[in-house]
Amino acid sequence: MTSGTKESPAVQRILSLHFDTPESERLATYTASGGYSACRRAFARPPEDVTEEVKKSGLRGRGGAGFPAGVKWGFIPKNTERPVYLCINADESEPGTFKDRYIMERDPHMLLEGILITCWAIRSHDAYIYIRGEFEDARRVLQAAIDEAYAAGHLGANPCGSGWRIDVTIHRGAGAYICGEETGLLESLEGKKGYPRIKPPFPAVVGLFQSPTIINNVETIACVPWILEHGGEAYARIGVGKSTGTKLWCISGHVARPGVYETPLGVPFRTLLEEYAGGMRHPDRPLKAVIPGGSSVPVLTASEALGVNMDYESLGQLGTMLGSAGVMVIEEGTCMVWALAVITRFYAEESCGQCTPCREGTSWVNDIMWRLERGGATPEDIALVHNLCDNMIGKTICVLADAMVMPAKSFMKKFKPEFDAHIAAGRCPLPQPVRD
Amino acid sequence: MPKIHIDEREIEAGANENLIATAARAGVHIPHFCWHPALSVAGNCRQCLVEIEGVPKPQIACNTPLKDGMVVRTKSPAIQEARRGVLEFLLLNHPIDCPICDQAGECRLQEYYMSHGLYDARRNVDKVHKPKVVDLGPHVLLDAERCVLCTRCVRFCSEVARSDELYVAERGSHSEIATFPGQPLVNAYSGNVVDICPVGALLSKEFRFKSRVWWLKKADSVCTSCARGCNVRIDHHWNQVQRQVPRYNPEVNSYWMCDRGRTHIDWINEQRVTAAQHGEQTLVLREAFELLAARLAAAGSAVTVVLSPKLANEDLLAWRHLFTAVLPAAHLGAGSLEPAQPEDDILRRADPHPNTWSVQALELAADVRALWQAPAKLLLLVGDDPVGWDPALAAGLARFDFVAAALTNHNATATSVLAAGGLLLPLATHAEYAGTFNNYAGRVQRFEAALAPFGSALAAHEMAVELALVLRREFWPAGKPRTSVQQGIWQQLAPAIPAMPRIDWEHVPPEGLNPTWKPTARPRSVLTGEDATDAYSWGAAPEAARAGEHG
Repeated sequence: MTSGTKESPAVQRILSLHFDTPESERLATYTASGGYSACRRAFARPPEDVTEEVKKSGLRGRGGAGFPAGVKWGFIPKNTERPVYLCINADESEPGTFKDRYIMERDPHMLLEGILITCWAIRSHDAYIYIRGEFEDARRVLQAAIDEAYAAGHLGANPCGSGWRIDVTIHRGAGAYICGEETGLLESLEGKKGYPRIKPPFPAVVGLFQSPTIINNVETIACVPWILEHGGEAYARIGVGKSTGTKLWCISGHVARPGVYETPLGVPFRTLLEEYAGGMRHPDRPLKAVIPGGSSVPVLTASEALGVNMDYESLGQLGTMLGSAGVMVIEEGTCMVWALAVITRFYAEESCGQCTPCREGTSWVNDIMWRLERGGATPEDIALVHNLCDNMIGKTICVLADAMVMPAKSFMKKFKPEFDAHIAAGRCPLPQPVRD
Repeated sequence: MPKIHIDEREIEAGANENLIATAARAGVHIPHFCWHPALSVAGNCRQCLVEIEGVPKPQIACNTPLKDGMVVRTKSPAIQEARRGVLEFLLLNHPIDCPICDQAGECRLQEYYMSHGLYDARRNVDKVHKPKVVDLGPHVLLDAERCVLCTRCVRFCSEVARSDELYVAERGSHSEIATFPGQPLVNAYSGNVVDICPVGALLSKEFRFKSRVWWLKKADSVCTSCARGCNVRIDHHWNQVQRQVPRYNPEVNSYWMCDRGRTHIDWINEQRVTAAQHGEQTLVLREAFELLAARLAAAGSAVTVVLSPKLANEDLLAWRHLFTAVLPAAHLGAGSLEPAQPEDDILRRADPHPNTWSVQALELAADVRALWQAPAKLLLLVGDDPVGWDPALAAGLARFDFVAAALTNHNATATSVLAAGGLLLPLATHAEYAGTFNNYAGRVQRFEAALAPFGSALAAHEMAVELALVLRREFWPAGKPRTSVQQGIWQQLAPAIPAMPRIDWEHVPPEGLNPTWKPTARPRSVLTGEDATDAYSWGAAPEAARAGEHG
């Protein structure tokens, strides 16, 4: 898989600009291209100003929920007596998502500078990067970058001469999807089992170590230096409507050139597919379906996908979500029952088991799904799964249950004939289903 | 305080009260598993979902902040379906083995299935199997297949017992309660996890397979294993105590009791003295009292009477009166040689006796060994087991012309007394009569009769009255009481002792009276609706839910 930036059309790039520069992960490379100047600008302004700038940019959280980052920062209680923490969610475990890894491996100082600015904006002295355990390469590169930044005085007691101590610590996860959920992440960071917390209270008020905490995705924070360098309004001019700025797309599946591509938000899916990802991998097998935002969002049919622009609102109008921008492209000939069963197995495996509907529901639905795929399912099973999904969605502490329900219901609705055919045939009716 | 509307009823929320507790006071039972009023909110069972006007998703009643004017619906079709759905998930992998489950009859899964479920099983996949009969510790067994993973037990161990033995192992549908390797559930309060377990997952080793709960008859009582005086309920059947469980009292023991108190019940059921015995000979009670009366008359005042701090207020008052005013004895005191117990800042007290406070208030406190040595012709022991605690005392019995002992059990003292040719009288335990103890803080706590007296056993205060009768002495300073002996004791004997509280024996509230209580102010019960939803005997709540459901 490549970063894909070489052959992609020349459009404004913010995050992936230096992905292909030699030694892009080194401090010298970063400062040569003007790095660590945005944080100096930030330190020269009052923290509220910095937050205001980010609010102006319209930057929305890139982790999946799309909540405006500046607004989130504003939730930190004023004059709190407790320490304020910044947590960077680098757990990137949503199936089909691999953008944060690129940032950490190829431009770690951009993330660190974003952390400096954010810490200043929310008056935090300590930032934790919760990194997915499997990301050993990314961790090594990131740790080397942190060490370089400390040595150069960009981190530590007096970053960039600001006098505002900022320490950054990497914490490795141990392979649980649920620890990417922000409060599950906090529990894990505190050394406990990754069980999402009940809200209220929200992390901005009671978060890490019972203190006000902001949790942002890697990509979100990596956007912050550019915003401070060029101004929030400049950022807001990129993209469409409330979907401002650029976005890293993780294109995977049956395309000719899977990879990470950056475009302004609002790019047509057709453009992403044809101009960036090089079209479908097999000329005989046209597009069948697209999961546009990681495995937990509702699926789009080919005709829906080919007409949609990739931004929060347009995807929302089709009943799906931009999510983590893990765009999974599925070609004709793929068994959709099998594809869904693979997805439900993931959620059944990864349910933390805390809430009843998710603990029991994900595994029940998964069992039925595999029976559908392998044979032995009855016509009533479809209605049963729909009903079980209704009993799960919106009834749990976190949205893991919803994350299984959304693909399950959309697959079963949009590709109903395939499910019916499986029941009628008592097995997968496709002669040679695509299974990779 | 915010005023909220629950199912068209308006009610003001109490301080720090959540929706479940507030609704309970309005007569609306919101089903729940994981929430417990004395533990932190986990919000994981999802059974307490309610509809709140203006909020799109159903919310959990246990953690929803109460706002003024909030409109809550607990019986809308969407909520009915949500409850049914959650129950279906909870029961999906449950073995449904009610016929062999100890919890049957007091199980929330059973109750809620009847009140909110009543669906036909749709399970069409294999059940997840988990460990059964897992030995968690000295008092508790786990059946992980019956567990609903509410984590009440986990939170109890970390928040109340502060020992953190339990946790949830694995994840997803394979989650199960577990202990860490080599670290069993050994805290001094482990039995409470069985009480708070809403289903049959955590089982008491002592109560397992002993009785179906619907056979159990219940009596409010007080634990006698230490000076805390935890409020308990004695559950009995076939005139045997089957189990002893804590009874909610926020002033004394909250919802809890220690394992020692909980399991210290065999002495009530077994090895009991059920008839009077003189040497080898069994006597009817009347003969025994006549024998003792004759010996007392012969001894004059050269009598030593040893009472016990395990005796109730009524017993101590009666014997004290008998041997100070009616038939003065040279030596009268109360004490015990039972060693101190481990103490902590949760419930347990070092003093292993339930009534030391009153022994001191009655100025009866004495050293048992000194009483043993005091010059006297007759030794009379009431309660306890001094020879058991100090076998050397047995030799001292031969010094007396006559020895008599009123004892509950055939213990070492009973054996020694009989061997010395003495008289043994059958004494009732506190489970067989009603009385009061004053705990370490002087709180007056009443216990009720649970069992019929074993054989011809008599309560100690009844013996004192009986003995006076046989001696042809007038026991009652103001004539025979018209109500109960206990009432008479409190009305006629207690007022002479300034340190004893003034109580209306017939109206001691179930949660007891603190020592500063004045008879002018009728105490208000501290038990509220919130407690009724989660006190161990919560049986009334689902009835209310059902009534509401169909009404």
